[in-house]
Amino acid sequence: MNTFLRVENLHIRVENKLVVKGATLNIEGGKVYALIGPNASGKTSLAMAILGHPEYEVVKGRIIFEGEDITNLPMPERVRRGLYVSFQNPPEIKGVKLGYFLERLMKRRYGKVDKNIILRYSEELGLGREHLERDLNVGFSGGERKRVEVLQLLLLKPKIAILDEPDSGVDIESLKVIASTIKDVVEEGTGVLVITHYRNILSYLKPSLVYVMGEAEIKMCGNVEILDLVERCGYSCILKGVCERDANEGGA
Amino acid sequence: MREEPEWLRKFRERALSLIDKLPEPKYGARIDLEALSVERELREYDESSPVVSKALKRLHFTMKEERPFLLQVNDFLRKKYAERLSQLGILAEDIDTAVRKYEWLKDYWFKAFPMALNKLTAFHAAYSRGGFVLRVKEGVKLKEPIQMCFIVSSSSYAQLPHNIIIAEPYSEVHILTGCIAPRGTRYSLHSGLTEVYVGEGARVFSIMIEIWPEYVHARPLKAVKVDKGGTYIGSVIVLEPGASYQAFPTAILMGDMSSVTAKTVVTARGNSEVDVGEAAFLLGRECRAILVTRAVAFDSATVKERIRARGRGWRSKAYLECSGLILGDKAKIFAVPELEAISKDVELYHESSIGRVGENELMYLMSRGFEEDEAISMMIRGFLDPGLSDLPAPLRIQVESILERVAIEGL
Repeated sequence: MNTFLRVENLHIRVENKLVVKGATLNIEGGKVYALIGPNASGKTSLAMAILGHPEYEVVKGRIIFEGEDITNLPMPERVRRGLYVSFQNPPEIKGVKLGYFLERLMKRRYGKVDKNIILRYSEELGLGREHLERDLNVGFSGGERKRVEVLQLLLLKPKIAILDEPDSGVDIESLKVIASTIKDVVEEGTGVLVITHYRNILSYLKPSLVYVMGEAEIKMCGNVEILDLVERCGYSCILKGVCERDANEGGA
Repeated sequence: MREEPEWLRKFRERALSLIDKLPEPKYGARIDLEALSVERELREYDESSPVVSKALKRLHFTMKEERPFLLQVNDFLRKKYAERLSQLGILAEDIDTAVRKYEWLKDYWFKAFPMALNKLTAFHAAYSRGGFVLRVKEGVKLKEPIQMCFIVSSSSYAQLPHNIIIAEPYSEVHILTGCIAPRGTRYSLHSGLTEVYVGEGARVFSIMIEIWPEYVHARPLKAVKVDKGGTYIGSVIVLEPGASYQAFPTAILMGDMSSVTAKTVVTARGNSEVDVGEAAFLLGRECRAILVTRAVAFDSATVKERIRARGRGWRSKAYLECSGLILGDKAKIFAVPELEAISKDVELYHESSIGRVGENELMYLMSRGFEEDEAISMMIRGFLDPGLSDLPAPLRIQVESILERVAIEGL
């Protein structure tokens, strides 16, 4: 059994508004998936609901993680089972040093701390000792924040990771570093769903399946050729189903 | 009657005659001084007694044979240590003995702290017992912290030690003090009065960690006088403020280019009534003061944070900060920053804020697998931490371990 995460017909409500009205997807270990779609189509809401953020209420559907229904499990429990969801806009946390935070994270995950590993991973992501000494995300550039999110991915080696726009606001050098780290983690067995607006990161990561979200639903999925379609025709055309025949109906 | 020199007897008589005439302390919950007996001596403890080991554990202090505590515990080790310090040029002695030996003490007796400020200060001046004198000779620098521990275990007593620290010109000293009463101590008052004299170009670093159970009232009184180019850096960590806690340590920057960094962090629980802060008087030219107070209020605790700077000296600058984090449903925090410029060419700044734990930050930490309690504790640690920077390594390590306890056991 290689299917780690299965989301079935998920309906999500935020402050009395239905923001996702049907999302079905599968993520298997060791593979990369992409979730694309126009702004406000519900991509982040889907990620947050899978994570178990209390503001995102699941009103219908199920989330199955390694055969277990985790739809009603509290957030830290899901994380402990091997789920990782990175934030699109990670907050600044004053007084909590990045290094200290990573040590606590490592201690939680593995029961012990290895500062050398933390330093090595940080350096692999172009973050040095001086970053570890600084407060988490305080005064960090957009690119640095994204790298901190990916650094945690590298450290935690989760079974499933959902990365919410790891590439937005990131320069080309950072993008390469971030993409190659994600690749490494996938090679070690993590299943990764990347939410993105850009083709660039996907050309590095080569997703095996692309999900397209629109109007609060996952409308279709297919291979990377969908990306060409999006580029040629735009979301509106695809979502209306005009180009549907070009993409493979997928999902289950 | 105790044997005390003439000058001190007269001083005490005058203080006694003033008690009834003076007003109640301006800040902090009212204490009925008449209901309290005055403790005769600080109790001596055996170092192996459970009271001591428990107290040290809660303070995160370690007993080191070569560096014992200067008070209350193990007379023999203490004497040996005092001898070693004296070879280095540091006089460390209990104040009741010192006052009989050294005439010069009268030049430091209530010369930084005003005796007739209120009923409590006069009461203290009349009845003080115990405490220590630390005098560091000119140019002597000792970087390993001198450790002090006050353990209060008597109920219905007022414990009134008087401490005098003198750093002669160009000397340097680091002091770590723990004040604690074991759980179960009933109604009592702990009011240590500390006067610090920082000589020309001298540096004094100090940390005080305080833990008071729910019936103890704590009124630490402190004044610091700083001469030309001298520096005082002090942090007070109040982990448990007891029934009520009030402190307003004041630095008087007399000399040109003298400076103070004074920080207080408090975590208040239950029904504690806390009134804390710091004050600085910038009298010399180009003085610098940084005053920081940070408080976390749980349950139905009330915390008043006061910070005050009065600037007079040419081109003097002060930066004041007080912030509060409210966690209890019935908790209250008041922040009262005061800036007084009494001449031109001074610059005074302050920043104050009171808030709750940020929802977004909390969710972020929980999204990485931390339970809510753990995440909140981490944020409390993060909130208190800036209140404790600027400390040299050994003292900093002590603070780290205390903060770590707050972070892990926090709630």
